[in-house]
Amino acid sequence: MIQSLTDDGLQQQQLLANKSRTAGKPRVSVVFVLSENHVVSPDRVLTQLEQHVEREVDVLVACAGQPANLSSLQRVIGSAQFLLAPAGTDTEDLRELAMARATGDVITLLNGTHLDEGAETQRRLAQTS
Amino acid sequence: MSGPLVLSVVVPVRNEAGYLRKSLQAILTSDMPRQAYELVVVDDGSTDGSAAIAGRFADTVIRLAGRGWGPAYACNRGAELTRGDVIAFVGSDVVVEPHTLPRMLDILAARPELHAVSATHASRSGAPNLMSKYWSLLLGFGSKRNVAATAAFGSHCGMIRRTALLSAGMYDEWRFKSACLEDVELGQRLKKSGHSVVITGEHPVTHVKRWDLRSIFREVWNRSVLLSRSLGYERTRSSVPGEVVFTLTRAVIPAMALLTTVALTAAFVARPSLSLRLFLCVAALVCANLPVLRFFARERGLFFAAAAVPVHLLTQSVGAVGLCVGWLMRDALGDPLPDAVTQAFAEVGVEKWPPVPRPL
Repeated sequence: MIQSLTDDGLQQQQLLANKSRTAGKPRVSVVFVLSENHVVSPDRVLTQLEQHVEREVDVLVACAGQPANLSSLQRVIGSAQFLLAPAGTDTEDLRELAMARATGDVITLLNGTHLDEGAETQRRLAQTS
Repeated sequence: MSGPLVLSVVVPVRNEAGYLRKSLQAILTSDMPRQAYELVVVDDGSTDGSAAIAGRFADTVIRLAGRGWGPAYACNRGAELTRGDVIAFVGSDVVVEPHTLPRMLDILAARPELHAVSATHASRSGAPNLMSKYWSLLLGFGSKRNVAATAAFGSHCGMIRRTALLSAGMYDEWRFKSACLEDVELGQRLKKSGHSVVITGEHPVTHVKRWDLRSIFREVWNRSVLLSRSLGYERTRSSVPGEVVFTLTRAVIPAMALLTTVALTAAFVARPSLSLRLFLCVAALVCANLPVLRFFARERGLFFAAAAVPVHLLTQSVGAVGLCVGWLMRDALGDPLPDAVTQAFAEVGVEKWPPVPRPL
Protein backbone atom coordinates (compact mmCIF):
# COMPACT_ATOMS: atom_id res chain seq x y z
CA MET A 1 0.00 0.00 0.00
CA ILE A 2 1.40 3.38 -0.95
CA GLN A 3 0.28 6.49 0.85
CA SER A 4 1.18 10.08 0.43
CA LEU A 5 2.07 11.82 3.66
CA THR A 6 0.24 14.91 2.57
CA ASP A 7 -3.10 13.13 3.07
CA ASP A 8 -5.62 14.72 5.40
CA GLY A 9 -6.99 12.92 8.43
CA LEU A 10 -3.63 11.96 9.89
CA GLN A 11 -4.72 12.91 13.37
CA GLN A 12 -7.96 10.96 13.00
CA GLN A 13 -6.00 7.88 11.99
CA GLN A 14 -3.75 8.30 15.03
CA LEU A 15 -6.77 8.51 17.30
CA LEU A 16 -8.11 5.30 15.82
CA ALA A 17 -4.72 3.66 16.26
CA ASN A 18 -4.68 4.61 19.93
CA LYS A 19 -8.17 3.27 20.38
CA SER A 20 -7.33 -0.07 18.85
CA ARG A 21 -4.50 -0.74 21.29
CA THR A 22 -5.60 -3.13 23.97
CA ALA A 23 -4.23 -4.88 27.00
CA GLY A 24 -2.20 -8.03 26.68
CA LYS A 25 0.39 -8.66 24.01
CA PRO A 26 1.85 -5.39 22.74
CA ARG A 27 1.53 -4.63 19.07
CA VAL A 28 4.72 -3.84 17.24
CA SER A 29 5.35 -1.42 14.43
CA VAL A 30 8.60 -1.32 12.52
CA VAL A 31 9.39 1.91 10.76
CA PHE A 32 12.09 1.79 8.13
CA VAL A 33 13.27 5.24 7.12
CA LEU A 34 14.78 5.22 3.69
CA SER A 35 17.30 7.95 4.24
CA GLU A 36 19.87 9.07 1.71
CA ASN A 37 22.79 7.81 3.79
CA HIS A 38 21.53 4.29 4.40
CA VAL A 39 24.19 1.62 4.13
CA VAL A 40 21.93 -1.36 4.53
CA SER A 41 19.78 -2.36 1.64
CA PRO A 42 16.14 -1.95 2.71
CA ASP A 43 15.10 -5.18 1.05
CA ARG A 44 17.59 -7.04 3.26
CA VAL A 45 15.92 -5.72 6.40
CA LEU A 46 12.44 -6.24 4.99
CA THR A 47 13.32 -9.83 4.14
CA GLN A 48 14.38 -10.39 7.74
CA LEU A 49 11.08 -8.95 8.92
CA GLU A 50 8.98 -10.94 6.49
CA GLN A 51 8.66 -13.97 8.75
CA HIS A 52 7.13 -11.80 11.48
CA VAL A 53 4.47 -10.20 9.36
CA GLU A 54 2.02 -13.00 10.11
CA ARG A 55 2.24 -11.85 13.73
CA GLU A 56 0.48 -8.65 12.73
CA VAL A 57 3.64 -6.63 12.79
CA ASP A 58 2.92 -3.32 11.20
CA VAL A 59 5.73 -2.43 8.74
CA LEU A 60 6.06 1.09 7.44
CA VAL A 61 8.67 2.33 4.98
CA ALA A 62 9.04 6.09 4.90
CA CYS A 63 10.80 7.52 1.87
CA ALA A 64 11.73 11.01 0.74
CA GLY A 65 10.57 10.90 -2.85
CA GLN A 66 9.80 7.72 -4.73
CA PRO A 67 12.62 5.15 -4.54
CA ALA A 68 13.76 3.65 -7.83
CA ASN A 69 13.24 0.09 -6.61
CA LEU A 70 9.83 0.69 -5.06
CA SER A 71 8.10 -2.17 -6.85
CA SER A 72 10.74 -4.71 -5.86
CA LEU A 73 10.57 -3.53 -2.23
CA GLN A 74 6.81 -3.92 -2.30
CA ARG A 75 7.19 -7.50 -3.40
CA VAL A 76 9.23 -8.37 -0.30
CA ILE A 77 6.44 -7.53 2.11
CA GLY A 78 3.16 -6.97 0.36
CA SER A 79 1.45 -5.62 3.45
CA ALA A 80 4.06 -2.96 4.18
CA GLN A 81 2.88 0.61 3.98
CA PHE A 82 5.05 2.86 1.87
CA LEU A 83 4.85 6.45 2.96
CA LEU A 84 6.09 8.79 0.27
CA ALA A 85 7.06 12.24 1.49
CA PRO A 86 8.24 15.00 -0.80
CA ALA A 87 11.85 14.60 -1.98
CA GLY A 88 14.29 16.37 0.31
CA THR A 89 12.33 15.65 3.50
CA ASP A 90 14.92 15.05 6.19
CA THR A 91 15.23 11.86 8.22
CA GLU A 92 13.81 13.28 11.44
CA ASP A 93 10.72 14.58 9.67
CA LEU A 94 10.27 11.20 7.97
CA ARG A 95 10.47 9.46 11.33
CA GLU A 96 7.95 11.81 12.89
CA LEU A 97 5.55 11.37 10.00
CA ALA A 98 5.86 7.60 10.16
CA MET A 99 5.31 7.71 13.93
CA ALA A 100 1.96 9.34 13.31
CA ARG A 101 0.94 6.41 11.09
CA ALA A 102 2.33 3.61 13.24
CA THR A 103 -0.28 1.77 15.26
CA GLY A 104 1.97 -0.29 17.54
CA ASP A 105 2.51 -0.05 21.26
CA VAL A 106 6.18 -0.62 20.55
CA ILE A 107 7.61 1.22 17.57
CA THR A 108 11.08 0.38 16.36
CA LEU A 109 12.60 2.94 14.05
CA LEU A 110 15.37 1.94 11.67
CA ASN A 111 17.48 4.31 9.65
CA GLY A 112 19.26 1.71 7.59
CA THR A 113 22.57 2.93 8.95
CA HIS A 114 23.46 0.02 11.25
CA LEU A 115 24.38 -3.33 9.85
CA ASP A 116 22.68 -5.26 12.64
CA GLU A 117 19.38 -3.38 12.54
CA GLY A 118 17.50 -6.29 11.00
CA ALA A 119 18.76 -8.76 13.58
CA GLU A 120 18.09 -6.27 16.34
CA THR A 121 14.52 -5.86 15.20
CA GLN A 122 14.05 -9.61 15.10
CA ARG A 123 15.24 -9.80 18.67
CA ARG A 124 12.80 -7.10 19.73
CA LEU A 125 9.93 -8.84 17.99
CA ALA A 126 10.82 -12.06 19.75
CA GLN A 127 10.85 -10.18 23.09
CA THR A 128 7.37 -8.78 22.61
CA SER A 129 5.79 -12.01 21.38
CA MET B 1 35.91 -7.71 31.35
CA SER B 2 34.82 -9.76 28.39
CA GLY B 3 34.11 -6.69 26.25
CA PRO B 4 32.65 -3.22 26.34
CA LEU B 5 29.39 -2.89 28.23
CA VAL B 6 26.36 -2.43 26.03
CA LEU B 7 24.34 0.59 27.09
CA SER B 8 20.62 1.19 26.80
CA VAL B 9 19.25 4.63 27.59
CA VAL B 10 15.64 4.80 28.76
CA VAL B 11 13.77 8.11 28.86
CA PRO B 12 10.27 8.05 30.38
CA VAL B 13 8.07 10.97 29.37
CA ARG B 14 4.60 12.24 30.09
CA ASN B 15 3.45 15.49 28.51
CA GLU B 16 6.87 17.08 28.43
CA ALA B 17 7.22 17.69 24.71
CA GLY B 18 8.68 21.10 25.44
CA TYR B 19 11.73 19.64 27.18
CA LEU B 20 12.02 16.25 25.55
CA ARG B 21 13.64 17.49 22.35
CA LYS B 22 16.50 19.14 24.26
CA SER B 23 16.93 16.10 26.46
CA LEU B 24 17.12 13.63 23.55
CA GLN B 25 19.36 15.88 21.50
CA ALA B 26 21.75 16.12 24.44
CA ILE B 27 21.87 12.32 24.76
CA LEU B 28 22.56 11.98 21.04
CA THR B 29 25.49 14.38 21.27
CA SER B 30 27.18 12.20 23.89
CA ASP B 31 30.81 11.33 23.24
CA MET B 32 29.96 7.79 22.21
CA PRO B 33 29.48 6.17 18.83
CA ARG B 34 25.78 6.06 18.02
CA GLN B 35 25.96 2.30 17.53
CA ALA B 36 27.29 1.86 21.08
CA TYR B 37 23.93 2.46 22.72
CA GLU B 38 20.22 2.24 22.08
CA LEU B 39 17.78 4.98 22.95
CA VAL B 40 14.34 3.93 24.17
CA VAL B 41 11.64 6.48 24.98
CA VAL B 42 8.59 5.38 26.95
CA ASP B 43 5.63 7.64 26.35
CA ASP B 44 3.31 7.37 29.33
CA GLY B 45 0.05 8.34 27.65
CA SER B 46 1.10 11.85 26.64
CA THR B 47 -1.40 14.06 24.86
CA ASP B 48 1.00 16.79 23.81
CA GLY B 49 2.93 15.17 20.97
CA SER B 50 5.79 13.82 23.09
CA ALA B 51 5.66 10.52 21.18
CA ALA B 52 6.11 12.28 17.86
CA ILE B 53 9.19 14.09 19.16
CA ALA B 54 10.50 10.83 20.59
CA GLY B 55 10.10 9.24 17.16
CA ARG B 56 12.45 11.80 15.65
CA PHE B 57 15.38 10.66 17.77
CA ALA B 58 14.79 7.32 19.47
CA ASP B 59 15.52 3.80 18.28
CA THR B 60 12.39 2.53 19.95
CA VAL B 61 9.31 4.30 21.25
CA ILE B 62 6.99 2.50 23.66
CA ARG B 63 3.52 3.99 23.82
CA LEU B 64 1.67 3.12 26.99
CA ALA B 65 -2.05 3.23 26.44
CA GLY B 66 -4.59 4.76 28.78
CA ARG B 67 -4.00 6.97 31.78
CA GLY B 68 -0.55 7.83 33.04
CA TRP B 69 1.00 4.87 34.81
CA GLY B 70 3.78 6.84 36.42
CA PRO B 71 7.53 7.02 35.88
CA ALA B 72 8.27 3.83 37.79
CA TYR B 73 5.99 1.80 35.54
CA ALA B 74 7.35 3.53 32.43
CA CYS B 75 10.97 2.93 33.43
CA ASN B 76 10.26 -0.74 34.08
CA ARG B 77 8.55 -1.25 30.72
CA GLY B 78 11.45 0.49 29.00
CA ALA B 79 14.04 -1.57 30.85
CA GLU B 80 12.27 -4.80 29.92
CA LEU B 81 12.64 -4.05 26.22
CA THR B 82 16.28 -3.05 26.30
CA ARG B 83 19.21 -5.26 25.46
CA GLY B 84 22.00 -3.47 27.32
CA ASP B 85 24.11 -4.89 30.15
CA VAL B 86 23.75 -1.45 31.64
CA ILE B 87 20.60 0.67 31.63
CA ALA B 88 20.69 4.43 32.00
CA PHE B 89 17.54 6.26 33.06
CA VAL B 90 17.46 9.90 32.04
CA GLY B 91 14.66 12.32 32.91
CA SER B 92 12.75 13.89 30.05
CA ASP B 93 13.59 17.36 31.38
CA VAL B 94 17.27 16.63 31.94
CA VAL B 95 20.11 17.73 29.71
CA VAL B 96 23.25 15.65 30.02
CA GLU B 97 26.72 16.86 29.10
CA PRO B 98 28.46 15.08 26.19
CA HIS B 99 30.80 13.30 28.61
CA THR B 100 28.23 12.43 31.31
CA LEU B 101 27.01 9.06 30.04
CA PRO B 102 30.37 7.81 28.70
CA ARG B 103 32.07 8.73 31.97
CA MET B 104 29.42 6.97 34.04
CA LEU B 105 29.74 3.91 31.83
CA ASP B 106 33.52 4.03 32.28
CA ILE B 107 33.06 4.04 36.06
CA LEU B 108 30.89 0.91 35.91
CA ALA B 109 33.28 -0.77 33.49
CA ALA B 110 36.29 -0.03 35.68
CA ARG B 111 34.63 -1.10 38.94
CA PRO B 112 32.87 -4.44 38.56
CA GLU B 113 31.91 -4.40 42.26
CA LEU B 114 29.83 -1.27 41.67
CA HIS B 115 26.20 -1.78 40.61
CA ALA B 116 24.81 1.67 39.97
CA VAL B 117 26.03 5.21 39.53
CA SER B 118 24.10 8.47 39.39
CA ALA B 119 24.96 12.00 38.33
CA THR B 120 24.40 14.98 40.61
CA HIS B 121 22.16 17.95 39.93
CA ALA B 122 23.79 21.07 38.53
CA SER B 123 23.17 24.28 40.41
CA ARG B 124 22.44 26.13 37.21
CA SER B 125 18.97 25.99 35.73
CA GLY B 126 17.91 25.54 32.15
CA ALA B 127 15.01 27.97 32.63
CA PRO B 128 15.63 31.66 33.34
CA ASN B 129 12.90 32.45 35.92
CA LEU B 130 13.53 32.88 39.65
CA MET B 131 11.64 29.76 40.73
CA SER B 132 13.50 27.46 38.35
CA LYS B 133 16.82 28.90 39.48
CA TYR B 134 15.77 28.48 43.11
CA TRP B 135 14.76 24.84 42.62
CA SER B 136 17.97 23.99 40.76
CA LEU B 137 20.03 25.59 43.51
CA LEU B 138 18.12 23.64 46.14
CA LEU B 139 18.83 20.38 44.31
CA GLY B 140 22.44 21.42 43.71
CA PHE B 141 22.94 22.32 47.38
CA GLY B 142 21.86 18.86 48.52
CA SER B 143 23.96 17.17 45.85
CA LYS B 144 27.11 19.13 46.67
CA ARG B 145 26.90 18.74 50.42
CA ASN B 146 26.20 15.06 50.45
CA VAL B 147 27.75 13.64 47.34
CA ALA B 148 30.10 11.35 49.22
CA ALA B 149 27.64 10.08 51.79
CA THR B 150 24.56 9.48 49.75
CA ALA B 151 23.44 6.16 48.35
CA ALA B 152 20.45 7.27 46.33
CA PHE B 153 19.81 6.14 42.84
CA GLY B 154 18.83 9.12 40.70
CA SER B 155 16.23 8.65 38.00
CA HIS B 156 17.17 12.06 36.64
CA CYS B 157 20.37 10.46 35.37
CA GLY B 158 21.24 7.08 36.81
CA MET B 159 22.98 4.10 35.34
CA ILE B 160 22.51 0.59 36.69
CA ARG B 161 23.58 -2.90 35.76
CA ARG B 162 20.66 -4.91 34.39
CA THR B 163 21.32 -7.78 36.79
CA ALA B 164 21.18 -5.45 39.79
CA LEU B 165 17.95 -3.82 38.63
CA LEU B 166 16.27 -7.17 38.10
CA SER B 167 17.47 -8.70 41.32
CA ALA B 168 16.34 -5.67 43.33
CA GLY B 169 12.84 -6.02 41.84
CA MET B 170 12.96 -2.97 39.53
CA TYR B 171 11.05 0.20 40.37
CA ASP B 172 8.10 0.11 42.74
CA GLU B 173 5.22 0.67 40.35
CA TRP B 174 2.19 0.89 42.59
CA ARG B 175 3.42 3.29 45.25
CA PHE B 176 5.09 5.78 42.92
CA LYS B 177 2.48 6.85 40.43
CA SER B 178 3.94 10.35 40.14
CA ALA B 179 7.52 11.38 39.48
CA CYS B 180 8.54 11.56 43.10
CA LEU B 181 11.16 9.65 45.09
CA GLU B 182 10.77 6.37 43.19
CA ASP B 183 14.52 6.52 42.61
CA VAL B 184 15.26 7.08 46.29
CA GLU B 185 13.22 4.02 47.18
CA LEU B 186 14.96 1.92 44.53
CA GLY B 187 18.32 3.12 45.87
CA GLN B 188 17.36 2.04 49.37
CA ARG B 189 16.22 -1.36 48.11
CA LEU B 190 19.45 -1.78 46.13
CA LYS B 191 21.49 -0.97 49.20
CA LYS B 192 19.42 -3.29 51.35
CA SER B 193 19.97 -6.15 48.93
CA GLY B 194 23.72 -5.66 49.07
CA HIS B 195 24.28 -3.64 45.89
CA SER B 196 26.63 -0.71 45.87
CA VAL B 197 25.39 2.61 44.56
CA VAL B 198 27.42 5.80 44.19
CA ILE B 199 26.84 9.32 43.01
CA THR B 200 29.46 10.98 40.89
CA GLY B 201 29.82 14.69 41.43
CA GLU B 202 32.05 15.13 38.40
CA HIS B 203 29.36 15.54 35.79
CA PRO B 204 26.24 17.25 37.05
CA VAL B 205 23.21 17.35 34.79
CA THR B 206 20.91 20.29 34.17
CA HIS B 207 17.14 20.36 34.56
CA VAL B 208 15.46 22.43 31.87
CA LYS B 209 11.97 22.25 33.33
CA ARG B 210 10.38 25.58 34.10
CA TRP B 211 9.16 25.67 37.69
CA ASP B 212 6.71 28.08 39.25
CA LEU B 213 5.70 28.58 42.87
CA ARG B 214 2.73 26.23 42.57
CA SER B 215 4.66 23.37 40.98
CA ILE B 216 7.43 23.68 43.59
CA PHE B 217 4.92 23.60 46.42
CA ARG B 218 3.21 20.56 44.87
CA GLU B 219 6.54 18.77 44.46
CA VAL B 220 7.69 19.53 48.01
CA TRP B 221 4.28 18.53 49.38
CA ASN B 222 4.28 15.20 47.52
CA ARG B 223 7.82 14.39 48.58
CA SER B 224 7.19 15.30 52.20
CA VAL B 225 3.98 13.28 52.51
CA LEU B 226 5.56 10.27 50.83
CA LEU B 227 8.68 10.49 52.98
CA SER B 228 6.84 10.47 56.26
CA ARG B 229 4.02 8.14 55.25
CA SER B 230 5.84 5.46 53.28
CA LEU B 231 9.61 5.74 53.21
CA GLY B 232 10.46 6.49 56.82
CA TYR B 233 11.85 9.96 57.42
CA GLU B 234 14.83 9.00 59.59
CA ARG B 235 15.82 5.95 57.56
CA THR B 236 15.74 7.89 54.31
CA ARG B 237 17.61 10.84 55.79
CA SER B 238 20.49 8.63 56.80
CA SER B 239 20.81 7.09 53.35
CA VAL B 240 19.88 10.09 51.17
CA PRO B 241 20.72 13.26 53.12
CA GLY B 242 20.85 15.35 49.94
CA GLU B 243 17.12 15.03 49.29
CA VAL B 244 15.36 18.40 49.02
CA VAL B 245 13.00 17.75 51.95
CA PHE B 246 15.96 17.23 54.27
CA THR B 247 17.61 20.41 53.02
CA LEU B 248 14.40 22.22 53.90
CA THR B 249 13.84 20.60 57.29
CA ARG B 250 17.45 20.76 58.43
CA ALA B 251 16.85 24.34 59.49
CA VAL B 252 13.76 23.58 61.57
CA ILE B 253 15.54 22.56 64.80
CA PRO B 254 17.97 25.52 64.86
CA ALA B 255 15.07 27.82 63.96
CA MET B 256 13.00 26.48 66.85
CA ALA B 257 15.96 26.87 69.23
CA LEU B 258 16.51 30.45 68.10
CA LEU B 259 12.83 31.30 68.34
CA THR B 260 12.66 29.86 71.83
CA THR B 261 15.66 31.94 72.85
CA VAL B 262 14.05 35.02 71.35
CA ALA B 263 10.78 34.26 73.16
CA LEU B 264 12.58 33.86 76.48
CA THR B 265 14.55 37.05 75.94
CA ALA B 266 11.33 38.86 75.14
CA ALA B 267 10.21 38.25 78.69
CA PHE B 268 12.79 40.79 79.81
CA VAL B 269 11.82 43.40 77.22
CA ALA B 270 8.90 45.60 78.12
CA ARG B 271 6.11 45.37 75.54
CA PRO B 272 8.02 44.51 72.35
CA SER B 273 6.21 45.82 69.30
CA LEU B 274 4.61 43.48 66.77
CA SER B 275 7.07 44.54 64.06
CA LEU B 276 10.00 43.82 66.40
CA ARG B 277 8.65 40.37 67.18
CA LEU B 278 8.08 39.69 63.48
CA PHE B 279 11.58 40.89 62.67
CA LEU B 280 13.08 38.63 65.31
CA CYS B 281 11.16 35.62 63.98
CA VAL B 282 12.29 36.20 60.39
CA ALA B 283 15.84 36.87 61.58
CA ALA B 284 15.84 33.59 63.48
CA LEU B 285 14.61 31.69 60.44
CA VAL B 286 17.16 33.37 58.20
CA CYS B 287 19.95 32.54 60.67
CA ALA B 288 18.84 28.91 60.72
CA ASN B 289 18.96 28.83 56.92
CA LEU B 290 22.32 30.56 56.62
CA PRO B 291 24.17 27.65 54.96
CA VAL B 292 21.60 27.44 52.15
CA LEU B 293 21.36 31.19 51.73
CA ARG B 294 25.15 31.57 51.71
CA PHE B 295 25.23 28.93 48.97
CA PHE B 296 22.60 30.87 47.00
CA ALA B 297 24.59 34.10 47.40
CA ARG B 298 27.81 32.43 46.30
CA GLU B 299 26.21 30.89 43.22
CA ARG B 300 23.83 33.66 42.15
CA GLY B 301 24.69 36.77 44.16
CA LEU B 302 23.34 38.53 47.23
CA PHE B 303 20.33 39.98 45.45
CA PHE B 304 19.15 36.55 44.38
CA ALA B 305 19.68 35.14 47.86
CA ALA B 306 17.62 37.97 49.36
CA ALA B 307 14.86 37.44 46.80
CA ALA B 308 14.84 33.71 47.55
CA VAL B 309 14.32 34.16 51.32
CA PRO B 310 10.49 34.46 51.28
CA VAL B 311 10.19 31.64 48.73
CA HIS B 312 12.46 29.44 50.82
CA LEU B 313 10.56 30.10 54.03
CA LEU B 314 7.23 29.38 52.34
CA THR B 315 8.60 26.18 50.79
CA GLN B 316 9.87 25.12 54.20
CA SER B 317 6.43 25.66 55.67
CA VAL B 318 4.82 23.55 52.93
CA GLY B 319 7.39 20.80 53.55
CA ALA B 320 6.81 20.87 57.31
CA VAL B 321 3.01 20.65 56.93
CA GLY B 322 3.41 17.88 54.34
CA LEU B 323 5.56 15.85 56.73
CA CYS B 324 3.00 16.24 59.51
CA VAL B 325 0.14 15.23 57.21
CA GLY B 326 2.17 12.21 56.08
CA TRP B 327 2.75 11.14 59.66
CA LEU B 328 -0.94 11.52 60.46
CA MET B 329 -1.89 9.52 57.37
CA ARG B 330 0.56 6.78 58.28
CA ASP B 331 -0.95 6.52 61.76
CA ALA B 332 -4.55 6.79 60.61
CA LEU B 333 -4.50 4.95 57.30
CA GLY B 334 -1.16 3.20 57.12
CA ASP B 335 1.07 2.80 54.10
CA PRO B 336 -0.82 2.67 50.78
CA LEU B 337 -1.58 -0.93 49.92
CA PRO B 338 -1.05 -2.42 46.49
CA ASP B 339 -4.15 -3.16 44.48
CA ALA B 340 -5.86 -6.53 44.56
CA VAL B 341 -4.05 -7.83 41.46
CA THR B 342 -0.66 -6.99 42.91
CA GLN B 343 -1.54 -8.60 46.21
CA ALA B 344 -2.75 -11.72 44.44
CA PHE B 345 0.55 -11.98 42.58
CA ALA B 346 2.41 -11.55 45.85
CA GLU B 347 0.35 -14.28 47.53
CA VAL B 348 1.24 -16.82 44.88
CA GLY B 349 4.89 -15.94 45.27
CA VAL B 350 5.74 -14.06 42.12
CA GLU B 351 9.47 -13.58 42.23
CA LYS B 352 9.61 -10.42 40.23
CA TRP B 353 8.23 -7.74 42.46
CA PRO B 354 6.23 -5.63 42.07
CA PRO B 355 4.18 -7.28 39.34
CA VAL B 356 3.08 -5.30 36.36
CA PRO B 357 -0.26 -3.56 36.69
CA ARG B 358 -2.39 -4.48 33.70
CA PRO B 359 -4.12 -1.83 31.61
CA LEU B 360 -7.85 -1.93 32.26
